[in-house]
Amino acid sequence: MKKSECLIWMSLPLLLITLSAEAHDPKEHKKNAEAPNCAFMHEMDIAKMDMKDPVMQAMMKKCLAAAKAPSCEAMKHMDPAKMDMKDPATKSTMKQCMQEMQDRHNEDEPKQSSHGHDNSKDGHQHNH
Amino acid sequence: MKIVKILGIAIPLAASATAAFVWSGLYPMGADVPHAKVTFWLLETLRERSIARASRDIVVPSIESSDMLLGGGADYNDMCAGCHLRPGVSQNDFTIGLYPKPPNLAMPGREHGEADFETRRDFWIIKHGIKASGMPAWGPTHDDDRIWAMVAFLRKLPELSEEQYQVLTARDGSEPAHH
Repeated sequence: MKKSECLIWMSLPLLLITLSAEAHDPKEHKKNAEAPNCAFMHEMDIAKMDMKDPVMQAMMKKCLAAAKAPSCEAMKHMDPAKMDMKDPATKSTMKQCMQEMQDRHNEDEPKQSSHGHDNSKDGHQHNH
Repeated sequence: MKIVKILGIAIPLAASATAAFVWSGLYPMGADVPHAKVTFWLLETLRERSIARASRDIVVPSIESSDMLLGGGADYNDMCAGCHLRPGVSQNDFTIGLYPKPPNLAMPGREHGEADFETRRDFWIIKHGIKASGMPAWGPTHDDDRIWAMVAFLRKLPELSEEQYQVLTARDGSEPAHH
């Protein structure tokens, strides 16, 4: 076997390994990035939010990171686990932040609905 | 002595009959024909005993963290939800057509034992996959931290609403980086 031919055969598995590693890099998935829909949090009672619950902390982190509202800026750098939702100042800022998030969502909604609708709500999704 | 003689005839006979059956091609291999109950029981028992033995020494780290939920949630949605579903979706083309049917991980009450065992079991299955089931091994392409994050998300998944799921799994660039 020629040297060049041998090199091609040897480099093929390496190429496949590299490709598969690239496909599983989280950065690759971001090409299909979807913004979190945090509008439902506006309906929640802020005083009853359990900030010790990791799910609530994660949602708060995600929604605050995605929020473009000016009142949310101050909260972006706070650790959700340390937020005291019974503190009137925190509660008021959070309420304002959520209101602005809701307003922005309402503004964006007509634009999104004009691009199509989610047909997976009927409990049966199709993969083709 | 009589028993040895009987076994000497019965064992080669059974082995020949099994070999003849395998070679004949009579076994229905299509995913649309379920296994016989005894075959299903044998394969399921083999699988569960093997996983229980292989995962018994896995040390479970602390997985109660919001960052792990965010990292694991996005990965679950990209890699697992197609077969293992998500809140608000009870079936899809994969779950209808695959055999064995992939478990609905968004549904409560799928536990096989105590929480610690379940956590080790989930980690092992994600890392190593399961032969001839359609479940791939994610270990070669995903490090342990990333797999534990998926396990952390799986522990919370049955409690999530559709809205919570959407927020936790959205990949908008704000999820914590994997190490």
